[in-house]
Amino acid sequence: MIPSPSNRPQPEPENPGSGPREGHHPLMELRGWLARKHVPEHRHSLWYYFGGLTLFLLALMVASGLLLTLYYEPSAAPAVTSDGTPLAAARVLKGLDWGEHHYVAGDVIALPLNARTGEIIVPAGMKGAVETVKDGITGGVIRPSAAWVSVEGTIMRDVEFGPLVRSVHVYSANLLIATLLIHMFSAFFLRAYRRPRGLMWVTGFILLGLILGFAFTGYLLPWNTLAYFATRIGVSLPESSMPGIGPAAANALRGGTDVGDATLTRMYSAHVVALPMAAILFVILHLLFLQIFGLSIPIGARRRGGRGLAASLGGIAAAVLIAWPIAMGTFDPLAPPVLAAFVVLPVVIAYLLSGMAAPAVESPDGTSLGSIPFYSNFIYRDLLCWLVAFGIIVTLAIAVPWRGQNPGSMPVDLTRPLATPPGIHPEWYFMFAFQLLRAVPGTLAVICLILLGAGILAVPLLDRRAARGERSTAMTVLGIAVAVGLAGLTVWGYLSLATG
Amino acid sequence: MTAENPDTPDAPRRNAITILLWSALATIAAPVVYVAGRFIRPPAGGPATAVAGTEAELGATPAHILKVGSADAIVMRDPKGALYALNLRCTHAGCNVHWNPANGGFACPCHGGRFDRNGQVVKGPPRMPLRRMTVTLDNGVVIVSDKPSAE
Ligand code: HEM
Ligand code: FES
Repeated sequence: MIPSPSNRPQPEPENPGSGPREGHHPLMELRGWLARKHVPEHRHSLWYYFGGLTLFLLALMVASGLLLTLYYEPSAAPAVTSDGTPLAAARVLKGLDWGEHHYVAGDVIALPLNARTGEIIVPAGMKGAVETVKDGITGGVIRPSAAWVSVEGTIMRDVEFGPLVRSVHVYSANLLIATLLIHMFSAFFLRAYRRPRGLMWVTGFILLGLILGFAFTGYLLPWNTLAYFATRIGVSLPESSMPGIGPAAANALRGGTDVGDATLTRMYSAHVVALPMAAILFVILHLLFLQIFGLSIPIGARRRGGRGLAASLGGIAAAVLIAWPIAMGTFDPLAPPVLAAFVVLPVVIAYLLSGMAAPAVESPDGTSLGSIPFYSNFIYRDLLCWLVAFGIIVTLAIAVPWRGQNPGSMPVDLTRPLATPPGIHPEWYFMFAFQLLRAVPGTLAVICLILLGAGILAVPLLDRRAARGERSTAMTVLGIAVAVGLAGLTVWGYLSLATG
Repeated sequence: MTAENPDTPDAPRRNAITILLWSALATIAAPVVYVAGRFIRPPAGGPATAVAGTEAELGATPAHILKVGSADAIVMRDPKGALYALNLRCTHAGCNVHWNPANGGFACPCHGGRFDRNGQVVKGPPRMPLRRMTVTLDNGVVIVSDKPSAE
């Protein structure tokens, strides 16, 4: 059995099997281990649930992603029908029902192309309701790729529950990144990274990088103009700002000097092979270290105290006020409730953080604290969190299925001039970098990002006092500065979008 | 629920929570499995069709092989002169049978199956006749579709 310091001595359970005994199956030891494993309980125990929540969301991503791979085709080649007829992009002009589907004005769909006339072949039921999409510059038809058709056609229209599975994948990705950030910031403010848990911090940081990698590579896969230009912007960040290795790294990421079919192949390979393998490896390491070291007890943690609960609920309400309109596609940063939420959220966060940073009032080793059994008290609360998260995701996925086609986004045809969608901007978790790039010269932006990453990675080394059981005010200030800086850049990014 | 009394005092409540949580999980697992099952089922495409040519082109003794969707088909004429089409996929294990004009039958290269020109089994191991496909005439144009033929 791996020893774990957080396994506080407990009276041996009545049930035998906690030690190796004659005639007992070795697996019985597992039961003893499970019975002995305890989780510390104190005022900040709430944060212990975010790691498990992240784990659950990761599992949900893997499951929904696995389903999506059944139909997704990672090919930028022009799509054809089963009998070889080329397809072309068509725009729906007015709402109509055709086959089993409802189409709304503005939908872009793929219809067979009459190669002689250069126009789409309009099915009888669609006469007068669709037009061929021409690119604005050469007037040529746009031929969507197999990748685009597999997403917008096969998954979104042909397969049963396709939009649901896609929405679950997208929404759990967003929630995953949110819980990951909460998990990381709480580990930071509770000084959970201090000796001996430095490796938990490092493996966790690598996981953050891998998850952002999933988000970046996955974004290209629908192969529409939004995806295309997002990738071009993202990859050009190192390219244009880091002399020497920047362009080489950018070319390696793209498989060429510009985003093209090789890029799609690479991003797909990373998204479904390399990143999952690495993520699983680092999750295993992260959890292995957790098992070895146990959960840390925050320095000077007090036993109970519910003052954070009201603040947390306020924070959740504010977050919903911001997230809901984004999900509905009606986000307006200048709308009064959203502005109010933008004000309330940082206050709540600062309040919660100040609670974590409160002065020590009890023995630093936490000996006067209680603990709860991992099984079943803690695991049941964990499960409850998972159920709530699952409920939120499925409700969102059913009520507001992710459509993925932001206005202005078109299928990419690499043989045609491409128009950048108006108002293009990244998802919220990359907004800080986007805004940073807009606000300062590229080289400076890259230096800031590298320093940020290196600084986060080095936190266990930077904070010498935590190892001695002391809380350093400098680290708290630094942490709050980073959190406020990132949040500020994000809000600034959304505000400048709204004001143009 | 604290460490001091982890087990006995609130055992009934714990049992109730256990049952509640497991039933919640089962309630959720069922629709998840259902949705995944439906999602995995490939979408039903419409029946594939292909043009074999005009009646005149096919002539009096056609043995015209063509692709219909993913299937390989052969168009033939029965003694009364009516056109019919067979799926060349052997009903034993799926090899494509060869048309042998010399003896007017089909031979399977894989396990020696033989079929007559109507697709009936002449020699094992296949047990089922070759599948018939639907032939329709549209102004003298012969169209084969992978809908199973009525006869
Ligand atoms: C896919 C990403 C991740 C998963 C699945 C994950 C999972 C977990 C789990 C299940 C725990 C135990 C429960 C808890 O304390 O919440 C944990 C603890 C921890 N994680 Fe993560 N984690 C991830 C990312 C990160 C990141 C990005 C960091 C920081 C850079 C991090 C740092 C830590 C630390 C320091 C602990 C120990 C907490 C303590 O002792 O109080 N993890 N993680
Ligand atoms: S597959 Fe034709 S005889 Fe076996």
